[in-house]
This record gives sequence, C-alpha cells and structure tokens, in this order.
Amino acid sequence: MSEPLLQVRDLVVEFRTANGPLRAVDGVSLDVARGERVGIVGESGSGKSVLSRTAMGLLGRKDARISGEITFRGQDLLAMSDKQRRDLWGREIAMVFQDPLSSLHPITPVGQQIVETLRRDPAMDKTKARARAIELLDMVGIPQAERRFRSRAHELSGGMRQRVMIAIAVANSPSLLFADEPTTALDVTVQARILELFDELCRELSIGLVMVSHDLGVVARHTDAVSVMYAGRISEQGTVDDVLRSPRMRYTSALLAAIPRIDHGRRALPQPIGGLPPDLVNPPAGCRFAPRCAHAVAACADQVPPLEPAADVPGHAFACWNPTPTEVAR
Amino acid sequence: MNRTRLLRVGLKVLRLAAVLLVVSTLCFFSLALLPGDPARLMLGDAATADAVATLRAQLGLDLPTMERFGHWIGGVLQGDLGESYRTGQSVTEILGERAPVTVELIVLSQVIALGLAVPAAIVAAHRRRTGTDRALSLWVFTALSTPDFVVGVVLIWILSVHLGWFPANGYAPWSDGVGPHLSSLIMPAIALAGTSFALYQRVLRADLVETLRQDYIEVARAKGLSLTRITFRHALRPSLLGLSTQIGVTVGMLIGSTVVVESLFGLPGIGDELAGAVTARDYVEVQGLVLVIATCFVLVNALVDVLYPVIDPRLASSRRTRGGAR
Ligand SMILES: Nc1ncnc2c1ncn2[C@@H]1O[C@H](COP(=O)(O)OP(=O)(O)OP(=O)(O)O)[C@@H](O)[C@H]1O
Ligand SMILES: [Mg+2]
Repeated sequence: MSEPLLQVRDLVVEFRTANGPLRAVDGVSLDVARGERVGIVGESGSGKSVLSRTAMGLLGRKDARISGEITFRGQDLLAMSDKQRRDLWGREIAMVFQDPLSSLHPITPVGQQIVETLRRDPAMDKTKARARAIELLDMVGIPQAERRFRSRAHELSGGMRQRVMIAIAVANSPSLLFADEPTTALDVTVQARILELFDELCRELSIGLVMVSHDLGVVARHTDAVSVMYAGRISEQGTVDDVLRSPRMRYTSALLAAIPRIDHGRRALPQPIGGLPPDLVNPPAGCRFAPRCAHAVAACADQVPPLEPAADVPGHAFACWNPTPTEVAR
Repeated sequence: MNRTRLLRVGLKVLRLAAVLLVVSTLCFFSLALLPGDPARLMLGDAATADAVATLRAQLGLDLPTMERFGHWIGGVLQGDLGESYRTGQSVTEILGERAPVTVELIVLSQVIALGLAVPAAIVAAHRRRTGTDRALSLWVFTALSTPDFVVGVVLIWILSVHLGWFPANGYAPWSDGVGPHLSSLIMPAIALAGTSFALYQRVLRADLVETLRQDYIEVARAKGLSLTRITFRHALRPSLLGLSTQIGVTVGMLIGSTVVVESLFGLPGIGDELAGAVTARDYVEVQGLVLVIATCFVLVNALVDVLYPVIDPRLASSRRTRGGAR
C-alpha cells in the first residue's frame, strides 16, 4: 500500500479531572490507508471516542494534555493552527456521529445543512450547491430527495437522519472519514443498510474509514483491519480475519466468547466477562485486563505486556503475557 | 384544519379578553378601597362640605360603587375611557399625547439592552467560567441590583452636570430636530435599560451554554465552520426561546418602571401622567391608563407566543401532532 493517509504514533490523551489526571488514551498507534476500513472495538469507556476525536483534531491541546504524533497526509495535525485544522475538516476529514437526531441541527432544513458544507468550497455557488445537495441525498438513498431537502431533522426517520449525516460527511469527498458508532442508535435492519452504504462509499470514493463500534459483528463484516481497545490501550491489532478468527490476546477471546451466537450450535451460551474495566485515574500496574482475566500469570500483575507482532503473522500484533494458543482459537 | 386553527385563535382572543376584564375589575375595586377623595383633593382643605358634596355629585362619585363600575365598563366597551376629573380631558386624548413618548422610551431602552446583552451573552457563553465570564456576570449582577433611579441620577451627574453632553431634564419633541429629541431620551433610556440588559444577558447566556453543548454544534465544528458562523447560524436561534419569554415579561414590567424614570427626567409620558393621576385620586384616568397598560402587556406576550413557532418550527409541528402518533 502507498503512504498511509493517517498515522497515529504513541498517542496519549490525558484529561485533568478532580481526582487527578485521567489517561483516556495511552500509547495508541494506528495506520489508515486510502480506501481502507479500520475498525476500533472495545467496551464502553475504553477510549474509542476520545481516540477518534483526537485523531481528527476535534479534541486538541486546549482540552487535554496530548502527546505523540498524528500525521495526516504527512502533515503534523497537532502542530497545526486552528485555522489549518478547520480547513481540513469537512473537506479532507469528516465525521459521522452516533446519534443522528442530536447531530442534525433542529431548525435548519437538512438540505441546507449539506449546502453549508458544500459551500466550504469557494467555487460552489448557491444554485450549484443546492443541486449537488439533492444529488447527495439521492446518492445516500433518500427517496424524493428534492422534497426531503426542505425537511427538518425531526420529520425524518432515524435511518434517514443518519443517511443525511453521511451525505454531509461525504459532501466534499473527504479522504478520511471517522464514524463513531454510526449505527448504535438505529434498529438492526436499518443498521445493515447504513453499513452497506459505508462500504459502498469507501469503495467508490476510496475513503479511508475509521469505524468505532462496540459491536464485534459490525466490525467483522464491514472493516478490513481492527484494533481492540481496552482501558485506553490497544490490546490487539491486525486484519479482521487474524484478530477475530484467531484472537491471541485474552481480552479479545473473552469479548468474542461474550457474544450470543445463534449460528454456532456448539457455542450457544455467551460467557460474559466478569468484573469491571479499571479506573483510568489509578489503573493497575501491569496488564490492565489482568484483574478480570481467567488466564492471568504472575507477570500480568506488574509488567505491562508490549504490543508485539506474532511470530508467524507479522501484521497481527497483541499485548499478552499468556496468549491464547492459535489452535484453540480456531 | 383551518377550522381548528380559527377556533384556537378565537379561544386565545377570549382568554385575552378575560384577563383584561379581571385586570380592570381588580383595578377599579382596589382604587375604590383607597382612602382619599378626589373632590376633597381638588377643592382643598378650605372647601365647605357642601361644595365637596356638589362636586362629588357632578363627578358621579355619589353613586354606589357597583353602578359606577357598570357605567365605566359600559363606556370602555364602546371605546370611551372616560374623562379626567382634574382637567376634563378625555383619557383617550391624554393617551394620544403621552403614549408615543413612553413607547419610544421603551423601544429605545430595549434596543440598548439587547444591543449590549446579546454580545455579552455570546462572549460569556464561549468563555464560560473564565475571568471574562465572571467579570461580565459581576457587571450583570450590579446592573440587576441597582435601581433605575440610581442609574439615572449617576447618568445625570456624569453626562449632564460634568460633561454637559445631554440635558439633565426635559423633553424635546421631534419638531425640535432629531438630535435634540434623541438627546432628551437617551439618558432615561439607558437608565431604563439596565435591568433588561441584566435579565437578557443571564437568560441568553444560560441557553447558549446549553446549546453549545449539543451534538449539532460539534458537528458544525467538524464541518470546519468558523466560530462566528457556528455562533450566529447554529447556536443563536435555538437559544432564543428563553430570551423571547423574558422580553415579553420585562417589557410589561418596564411600563411600571417608566413612572420613576419619566418623573426623574421630566418626560411627558404615561408613567409620569399615571403618577400624577394616582396622587390626585383621579380614578377614571388611573383606571383608563392601567387598562391600556395591561392591554399592552397582554398583547406583547401574545405576540411572543405567536413568535415561538417562527423561532423554532419544531414547536409548531409538535403542537400540530400533539395527541397523534409519534
Ligand atoms: N472531556 C473529558 N474529560 C474527562 N474525562 C473524559 C472526557 N472525555 C472522555 N473522558 C473519559 O475518557 C474515557 C474514555 O471515554 P470515551 O468516550 O472515549 O469512551 P468510549 O470507548 O467511546 O465509550 P462508549 O462506548 O461509551 O462511547 C472515559 O473514562 C471517560 O470518562
Ligand atoms: Mg464513544
């Protein structure tokens, strides 16, 4: 693959809280190439949203202590001025948020919200932008686009709203798109159609996609690479096939075992993970999953396992002192 | 659809009429309870009891209270507000002369209050919990707790006595020229604007802070829009409902505040007239003025009510679908 679109290196994001510094993201590295779909999974509070908002630049040095590197097309995102970053947003980098109802402006008609994004391009006049907005509404699968142009958010269904959000996000054909739990607020059938839309857009516009989700099924079907996050760190990283079909880090295995499955008769009963994620202000010294891990060994309690590539599969990295043996995972 | 709408408008008008009826009744009877006799006040202590009785009969004050009330209300319904005991001038005529001054004073004060409160609220909301925000709220709190009268006196002292920019007292009508006219109104308008400014800044700041927390503001940011555009095109309009309610209520209360400010600056407005009428126990005039003031108050608030769905169309459609399937 060519030079990566987005490169995140050793990213640390630390919030100042009343109880002391809280490391929401702790040493995360991530690559996204053009046309590639990268999934980020993890439990609630594992830092997925903070990671994507920081990687996009929405969360900056004013909001938290940030170290590490974020490079977009070779440019250092953290060193940029507000103005430079704003120039990228909506044109080169875009985001689709979780709740489409609260993400759309309650008063402005939806078409106008697309036009506004299109008009970031100085060559777009009002008439052209309007025509293009209707085209976009049509492209994301909204029937009677011309009429819907004037609708307000509360007049649309949940699926339609998220389609509008996607139209806004891809209006200026960005090269990088973040989607933070884009289908969590939608019902299952609508969810599938929205995810297909993402697949289609990534293919056709060769957009690099970062898809945040706590749903392993979504990530398995709709991304190429995946990073599993636990308590601010990446615990396993690789292609979807490697990570989800032969997980090595115990947390990934536990997550997979916790999904109820109806397609595999023999693993019918889900096994929930006991315990709670650690307090990020005072995290455990060693592996952060150790207190909840059924396979923890002595080293887990006091030494941080490094994220290292597997000996046989170089693209598959995991951080575990006592990894799941490959044959068992199959 | 059209009929239900007509019905709703009809109901609204009925409700307004009921409010006004209650207000005028209360006003009439509370005045009747007041000690003091207009005839005695007009003739002075030296007048004989006979003379006072004759005047009372002339003014119709010897009639039973209920009868007087019926008489007055009957006139009001025909558009006749009665005549002042003191001057014999009709109350409608008095209003025609004096209302423009007060209306202009109130409009000017609201322009000043909003002109300062909106920017101050925007700045405070964006810099919430910083020094700027705290400094602004201190200023707002001071404005809120200083009586208009005190502001007026300070303004006179600085701007008239020391700097000589504006006349300390008196009214120049439009016929004297725009400059002198506005100069005679500017200080009372500022004095009157203080409280409104403070109330508006607080309400709008709070609503803006709430709006700026919404997801759609983050989305606007992610679109790469400038802070100015986000503030004025995205955040401001959804934050205006509280402010409009506050304006409705405040304008109503301002009519009361004009009593003090108009007297202080010697402006021939309704407030000044009302103060005089109460002192002289000029019942008919007081009743007429209060009724008109109450009507204005009710109308201003009805107007705000009508404006809600224009500001936020969600309100219009939620009302339309209320009770229907969600
Ligand atoms: N502005 C902030 N100030 C302080 N702490 C924060 C802030 N934003 C996030 N956090 C903390 O950072 C941690 C990670 O939050 P984040 O929202 O990234 O989780 P998440 O993985 O997206 O979870 P979810 O699946 O619930 O969305 C949480 O513990 C959260 O409380
Ligand atoms: Mg999240």
